[in-house]
Amino acid sequence: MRLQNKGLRVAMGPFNVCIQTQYKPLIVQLYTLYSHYRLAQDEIAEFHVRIVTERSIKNPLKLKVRFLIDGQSPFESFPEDQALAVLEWGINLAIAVRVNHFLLLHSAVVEKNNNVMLFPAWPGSGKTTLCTALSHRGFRLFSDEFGLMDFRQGVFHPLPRLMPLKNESIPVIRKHLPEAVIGQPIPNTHKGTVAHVCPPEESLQLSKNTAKARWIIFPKWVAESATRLEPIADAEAFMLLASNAFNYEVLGASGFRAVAQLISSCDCYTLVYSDLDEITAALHHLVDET
Amino acid sequence: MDKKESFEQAHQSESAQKMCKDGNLNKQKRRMLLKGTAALPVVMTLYSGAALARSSNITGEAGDVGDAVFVDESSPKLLCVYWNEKLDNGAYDLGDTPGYTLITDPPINPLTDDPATVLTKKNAQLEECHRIGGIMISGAAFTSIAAKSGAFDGLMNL
Amino acid sequence: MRWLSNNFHSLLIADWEDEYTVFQPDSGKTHFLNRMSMQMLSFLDQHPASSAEVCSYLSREFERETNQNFQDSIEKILYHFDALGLIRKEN
Repeated sequence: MRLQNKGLRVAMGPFNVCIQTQYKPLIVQLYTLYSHYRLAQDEIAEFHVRIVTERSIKNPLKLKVRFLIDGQSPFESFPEDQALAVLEWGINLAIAVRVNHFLLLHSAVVEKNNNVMLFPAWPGSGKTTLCTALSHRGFRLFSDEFGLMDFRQGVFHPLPRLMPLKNESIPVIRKHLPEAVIGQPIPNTHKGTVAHVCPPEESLQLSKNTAKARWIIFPKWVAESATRLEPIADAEAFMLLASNAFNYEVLGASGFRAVAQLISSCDCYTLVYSDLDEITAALHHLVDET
Repeated sequence: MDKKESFEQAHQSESAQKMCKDGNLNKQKRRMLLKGTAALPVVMTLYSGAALARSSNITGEAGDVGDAVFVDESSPKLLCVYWNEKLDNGAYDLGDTPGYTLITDPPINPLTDDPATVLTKKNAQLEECHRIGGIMISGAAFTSIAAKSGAFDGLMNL
Repeated sequence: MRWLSNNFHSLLIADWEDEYTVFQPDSGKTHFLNRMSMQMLSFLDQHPASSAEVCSYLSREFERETNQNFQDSIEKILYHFDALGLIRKEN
């Protein structure tokens, strides 16, 4: 009921997001996929988002959904069956554009033994698939999308959110992780078919536990490739990481210091992979030998 | 004062350098892979606004001509956007400030053309767009890219 | 014509063992420099110098002979530094 009225306040890492919608199919999806999230009904929400329905003037029979943040609509409307994808996409965009008190990396992030492993990458590099696999096989999920670094404390904050698998990675993960909780596939989005994976429950329960970064790995999925994990020079890693951050330039000297601090405290690699079992074993080995 | 000493002093006054020195002892093995030892001077500047611009301006082609952006309701013209790079996953990187053109042929008149003719003409405009190396984009992609890059400011007056 | 560095003291410099990343507060830009280009900036921070003097200094520091190609490269980098606001022409 809260979703339909004042909105449901959901804790997502360091943020509280107030979600409100009257659209019943989305409500059903959210109660399933968000079931393990902590509610923050009495706390301040940083983001107030809504999914509203509307009818096209040209085609009144066709119901569409629109994402609103603080009452403003940053996008056009979408077909109704894409409501969940639009909500998730909208929340990500709001975080990417508005958050400037963290260094905000475009990166998958996992943790093991209290050390964070970053996978900064552009769309299409397979970071969500890799992150999904790792977070179900011995690593704690921080985020498949955002590296949130508190540069004053030098720590990363978890932001475990639904992980949107795309296209062929959906059957790959279904086969690889039969235990994963995956929402209904949503076809014909602007990124193709998308299906959302629930973060493992333990990652959600520990989502207040920050940690320092120890490895920075720039991943690329290449079909049929052998796993190759190769060190790269610090200066090169610096330039790659700075260009990967959403808000590096906004932060100015603080951004420079934050990236320098990260590079100096991490081992940096490039990674080419295709086999999820192989790369999972290789990364466990990397962590355990440290 | 010796020039080299002065150079090092200038460096050591910066906290960033101190941070880097502290953690670098175990990194000797992977130094100078980039261009550190080149026999010529090298300078590279980080591309302005790289992350947000790139992540925002990567898009797929609209799935159907019915979802594509047409400009000017009275005589719809396909918004044909040029791309810089086709990515491995089939998406397109449109670059920082995507270039575009409006496809005018065949002209569409929604008042006199029946829906089937409008669809046929829209598909013909799409063929022309593909022929000149562009793609159609969805309304969502248009809004996102327009907000971030100002690329389509010229269309807002139409 | 002689060149000299421009606000060299204001730069934030991270040293990655003969490779450097440099934040330039005046422009908000970040640059990668190798050892030779950093030596050029440092040299021009000490006193103004012509491109020939810069070449001569670098050839001594890096124990290499100067030739036309090398001089052209140095000249090119000097103009690039100028465009970036890292150095300027002496008045």
